Amino acid sequence: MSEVANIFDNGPISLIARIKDNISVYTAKKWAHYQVVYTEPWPRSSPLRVEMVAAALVTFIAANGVIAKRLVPILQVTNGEMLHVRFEPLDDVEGVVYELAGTGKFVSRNTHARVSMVTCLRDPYLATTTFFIMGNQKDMNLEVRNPNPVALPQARFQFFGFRYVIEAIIPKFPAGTTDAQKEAVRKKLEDGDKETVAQYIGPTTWLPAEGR
Amino acid sequence: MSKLITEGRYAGMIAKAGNCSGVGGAVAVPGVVVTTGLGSLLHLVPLGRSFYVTKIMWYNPGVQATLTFGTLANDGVTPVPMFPTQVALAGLEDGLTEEELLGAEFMLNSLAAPNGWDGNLYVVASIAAILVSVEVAEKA
Repeated sequence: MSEVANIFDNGPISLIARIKDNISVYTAKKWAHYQVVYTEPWPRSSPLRVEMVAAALVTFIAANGVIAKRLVPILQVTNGEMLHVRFEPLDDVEGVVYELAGTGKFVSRNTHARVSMVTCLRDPYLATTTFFIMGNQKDMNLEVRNPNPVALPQARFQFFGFRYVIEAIIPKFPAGTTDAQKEAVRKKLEDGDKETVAQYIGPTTWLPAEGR
Repeated sequence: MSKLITEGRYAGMIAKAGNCSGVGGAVAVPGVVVTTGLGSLLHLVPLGRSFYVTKIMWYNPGVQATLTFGTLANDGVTPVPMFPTQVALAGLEDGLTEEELLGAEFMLNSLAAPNGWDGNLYVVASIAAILVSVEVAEKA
């Protein structure tokens, strides 16, 4: 196992960037470039567990029913913070991820994948459940679905992963660069232009925050 | 109520108690089913899943009776036995464990009766008031 993983590495979860490494994150519909200034693990434990039936202020999830997508407060971060999370349901329900609240995560043109109790069977480290949450007001919303023909009294989800503190990288321009040239470079950085990023940001790890 | 089975022939499936209870299994809440003289529902198969029966237990407070476990043909009337008929002795409890039960997979077969069945688990008891509870392993 390498010290730094690929972002959806199929092994146990590990850091996607070390302290002082650069990351380029697709967030708010553009690429933003940061340096990691601090990282810490977020071990799988009871505070990182959420019971969605109680969170929705109801007493059960109906047979074949749905708890409408809702914010998961334990996964809210401030600006300058990023979460790198994997998760699984502890009860026989399916989780549907939205990031932002209106944008599905794990989607294709015609479908929206879910994370179920058996996802961990073929994917024991839950790598396919990996997602990132980046900054304030870009929260993850979780919808819960009950595949059972009977109502269930609880729908617990367990999260775990890493927390990163990050700082925006301000590109340094050579003296004499005009405002128009700077603007053009900034636009190319936002577009994620590989050569421009290599020149102005340096080596970086590319990763998506919200859905697209 | 549910857990993933981690080893054995049903590894990777979701173990749970039968999801019906009450007289005839009419209540869609896990628990003990009280037989009627006819078919009683023991477990409803979730949409898109199938299951194996891993344990059956019963207590017969009445006279000697028979129990036939199986599913129901799509005519909604004809029982489809999946296991040999069991004798439930008067005043005794008994059961079938994983080793004694066939690996019959219960799943919806949408063909018309007699080829198709609803895939739910039922018991046909010769008398009423026998208490039955089951455990199943669901494949998702």
